[in-house]
Amino acid sequence: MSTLPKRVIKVISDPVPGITAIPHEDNLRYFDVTIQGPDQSPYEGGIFKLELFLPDDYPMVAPKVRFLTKIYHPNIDKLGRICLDVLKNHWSPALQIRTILLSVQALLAAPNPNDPLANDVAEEWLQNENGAIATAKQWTAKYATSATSAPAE
Amino acid sequence: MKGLLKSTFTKKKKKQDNKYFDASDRMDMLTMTEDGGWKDLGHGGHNESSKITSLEPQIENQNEESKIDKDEELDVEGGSDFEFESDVEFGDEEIDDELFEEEYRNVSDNSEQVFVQQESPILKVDDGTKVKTSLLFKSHTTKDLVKQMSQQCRNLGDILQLDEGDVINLLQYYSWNSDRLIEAYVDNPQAVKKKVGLASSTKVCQHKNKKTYKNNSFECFLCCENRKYTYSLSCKHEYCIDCYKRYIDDRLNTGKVITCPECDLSLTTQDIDAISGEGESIKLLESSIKEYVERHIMYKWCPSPDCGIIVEVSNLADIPHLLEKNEIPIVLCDHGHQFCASCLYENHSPATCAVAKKWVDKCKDDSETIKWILTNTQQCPKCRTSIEKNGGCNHMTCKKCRQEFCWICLGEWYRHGTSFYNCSRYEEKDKNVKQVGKKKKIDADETRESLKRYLHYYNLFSVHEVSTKLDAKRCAQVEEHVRLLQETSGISWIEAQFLVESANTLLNARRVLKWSYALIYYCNITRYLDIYESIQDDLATAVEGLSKLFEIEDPEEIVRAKLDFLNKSRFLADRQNAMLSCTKDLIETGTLPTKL
Repeated sequence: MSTLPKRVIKVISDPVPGITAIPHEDNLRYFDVTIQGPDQSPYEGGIFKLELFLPDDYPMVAPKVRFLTKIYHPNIDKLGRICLDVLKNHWSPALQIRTILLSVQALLAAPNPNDPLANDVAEEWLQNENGAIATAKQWTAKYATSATSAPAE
Repeated sequence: MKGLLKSTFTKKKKKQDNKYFDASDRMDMLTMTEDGGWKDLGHGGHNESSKITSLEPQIENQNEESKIDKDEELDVEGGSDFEFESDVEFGDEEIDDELFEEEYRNVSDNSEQVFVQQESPILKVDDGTKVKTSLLFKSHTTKDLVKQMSQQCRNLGDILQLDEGDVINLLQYYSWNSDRLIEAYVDNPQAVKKKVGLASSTKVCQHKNKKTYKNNSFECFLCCENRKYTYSLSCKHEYCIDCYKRYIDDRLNTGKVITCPECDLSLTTQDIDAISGEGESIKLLESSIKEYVERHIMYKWCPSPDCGIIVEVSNLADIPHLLEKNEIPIVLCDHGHQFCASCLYENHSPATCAVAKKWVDKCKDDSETIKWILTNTQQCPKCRTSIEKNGGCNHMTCKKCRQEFCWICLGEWYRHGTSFYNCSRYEEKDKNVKQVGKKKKIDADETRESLKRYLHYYNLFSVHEVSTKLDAKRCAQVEEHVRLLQETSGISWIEAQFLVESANTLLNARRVLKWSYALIYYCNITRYLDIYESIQDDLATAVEGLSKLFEIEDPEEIVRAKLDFLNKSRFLADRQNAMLSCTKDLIETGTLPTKL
């Protein structure tokens, strides 16, 4: 427990361009995160809200990360859960919060429809990539631009 | 067909008769048992049981004398043994049926009269050596296996000229497939080492893993605290020893190679011992057992809950032959659990492996759902959709076809007029039903019928499964009863063993009965099925009879009921054997065809 503030300071004091992580004042384990959609991806121009929670066993177990903004992505489901190896079995205590968030950003840049979480999206992605990308852009414009950003279902 | 079956019985029996004569020199012992004192035989428990077991044939011999006449009669009737099959007439066959049935009934009916004087052959099934199987097998505990694994690692280490710890990591990486490891390693040792994350051997010695910092001057990257003691591998990724320990503890039970938190360099058993304390690394091997057992198909986990015994089958190649002959490759673990080495369920005789597998799959799939649907829903009288009524009045409107109907009589609602909750429209309902598309109804009825059939057997199966569990609980208390008996009634241990043996007989018989219901579900409905079912009924009755005796709790009462226990369990064992051999013969001769 006592280690937490130091860690939080580390996160805040070492910002990554395009990513912000701000801890809640009443719960330092809980972070409000925003990630900018990477350039040259269907998510370009969008700002996606996420939540990040550090469980009790952190850093032995991975932090819990979830999208709050609706997003059309084969590896992110309706509830905003993310299918990412470093968040699951490839977690290592040596990974930091910033590396995790960078990985999430990289996932936006490179969707992997062959290992899907949202099956319907992945199918569309494989069969009609242009259509899927168009939908992703639409969703980004609709849900993830600063004016309209609304929480996911 | 039947005749053939019959005559093979005859032959078998005659063969047995010869065999039984060998046992006749034990007749004197048998008489000793009559006065109830087994200790008179002057043997220890186990010898004792095998002796008594071997006496059993004589008993059957006596029982069967009367029947042999009958068999001969049959032979006369049907002509010579093996031509029988081709030219049976229907009438003959029916007589055969009766005789056939009588045969299996007689086995025990006679014995029921005789066994009052003879005692207990019931160990037949429980004594490991008497389990009828041609498999050679041996039980291991997990400890044995860990020893074996570490021996294998040492041997392999000698071959590859590596440390035992390194070999463990290599084997873990290759899922304990030593052939693949050797192949890959011989091909390119450095690449394999790199892949698994083993340090090149020279560096290890020079690098000092454990360090101590003065004034807690080391800031651990993981816990962000200043610490004194640290540990690092040759990759120089350094963490405080507490964090490292936690890290290892988290991963020790995964059965996988543990690497440095930062890179792919792997921790060897020496590292683990150095960090977590001596002897911790054994957990690494223990956690690999699962993988090891999966990799080596001669090892089979005992499927009994919390048993943890691993049975090694040495003649695996024989299993397919056994299966072809519809025999079940039964093995027995050291804790006395019988299981099938092919499908890894408990001993599922008389059901064959194919039947057992289908049945278990079926039960897994839909039993609970179907049960719930049948008990909680009714079908819409028009479109046959299953509808659950979760409240409100009995005026139902089907969401799917908008049919309005009465929940009680399933008739159309408008016919009810004003007699809303007073449903007396039974005949109307019949008329309505006729109007509904006939084919649809027949289809739905057929599914319902087949569901009902399935459910019937499923219920029987599960009732006996539950009862087995309850009986097992009760029988577990038997040990206590035995102790009480010894204390209160001054009975010797050996004399009190009848209770243990009866308990085992009961559990085994219940299991046989249970699986026979699974078998029968997959049987075509023929005349033989009736016979089979009556044999099944007999077994069920016998099971309940013995089960009831176990309700007695008063020790003195138990002693008084000893004869009853012995009689009933003897009877039960006979019924069970009759059931098993009957099934076997029916399946072998194809008279009980299964629809798989």
